[in-house]
Amino acid sequence: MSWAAHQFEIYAVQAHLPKKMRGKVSFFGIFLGDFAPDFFAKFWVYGITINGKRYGASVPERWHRGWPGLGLTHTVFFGIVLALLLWLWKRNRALTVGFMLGMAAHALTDVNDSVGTMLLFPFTTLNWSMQTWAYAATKSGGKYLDAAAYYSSLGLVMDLLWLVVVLAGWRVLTREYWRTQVVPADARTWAWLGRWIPERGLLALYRATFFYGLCRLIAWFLYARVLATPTIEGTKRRGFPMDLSWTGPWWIPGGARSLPHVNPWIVLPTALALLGLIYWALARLWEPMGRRERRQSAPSTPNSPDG
Amino acid sequence: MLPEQRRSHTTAVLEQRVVSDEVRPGSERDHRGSRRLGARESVVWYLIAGLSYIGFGLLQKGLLNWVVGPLWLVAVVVIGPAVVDRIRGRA
Repeated sequence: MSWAAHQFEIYAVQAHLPKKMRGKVSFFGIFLGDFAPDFFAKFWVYGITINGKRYGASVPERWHRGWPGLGLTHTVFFGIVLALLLWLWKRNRALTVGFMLGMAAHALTDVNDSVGTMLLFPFTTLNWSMQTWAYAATKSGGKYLDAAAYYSSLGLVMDLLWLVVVLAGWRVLTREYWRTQVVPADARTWAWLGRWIPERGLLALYRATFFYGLCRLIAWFLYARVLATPTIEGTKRRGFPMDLSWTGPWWIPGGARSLPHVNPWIVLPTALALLGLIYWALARLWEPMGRRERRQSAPSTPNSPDG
Repeated sequence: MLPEQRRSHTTAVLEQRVVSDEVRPGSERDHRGSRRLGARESVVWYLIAGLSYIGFGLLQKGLLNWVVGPLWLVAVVVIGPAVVDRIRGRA
């Protein structure tokens, strides 16, 4: 499970679009695509407790990333299906391509934990996991243990890495970038929002996901390192122990969660190849989709060729 | 006007409604007449939003979610300067 990485990667995708797509891919599309997998799957992972009884997934990792379960929401296949439906519904290239890029970013980032994602679903339901850190969403530990484990492991490094990637392309957060690259791709949506929100609020809205990612990183890190008082192996501690070993941390009750998976060594090259393939395919589809969108948006008149 | 030209014109108008400094370069006011923030003032409001969100979030971790987080920033950046302006009598 990745935490702030999912917020940061939106801006990383936005900042590293292929040249011909710059200023033309919907930021809202990237956001929705990156957000969709956990929107569909995560609500039941931690579950809810009412009158002392917990309602939620009995095997959180299977529900979240496995099959049977909602693991298909974290697959490139699911992204393609939703992007296709979005395209058929809206005929909006900026939104469709943004959505697909966001979905792919989410599914590929999540291969890092010990559960991973079903990258090649439906061809195989095996999970692809690099086992970099432990998946720790357990029935008893809930969100708190999950956060503590993530920010006590290489998950923290992953969040910081994504933060550095965004900060290295800091221009993506500037007003000028928003004005010249982000607004034109979603002109109608920003104009609609602008009817109620002043410009400084619109700019804040654009930056809000980054803000949320950075704040939750700091807050949960402080919780895990300073504020929590867990009892581990009979010893009460101030803060959870830090463990930057592979598939750490070691102290999760029952150990790192996992599902049947492929050899971890083939995961990174496969994920990178898949990412390259997605960018290549979208780049190839870019112009045909644009032509189709223009034909669709041209009003039908008795004299128009499309009549 | 051809359909493509009409669409480009519409998009341009919509963009100008949001980012009106292309219409009025250097203007202190945006398309709604609200005050634009200077760089230093922006940093202050973003810092206030961040520190308060982290502080309250640590006290009540239910606030640390994807709905409250983004709304917190937008609310502070929109409402904060407006309240200060009202108090200073320059609304």
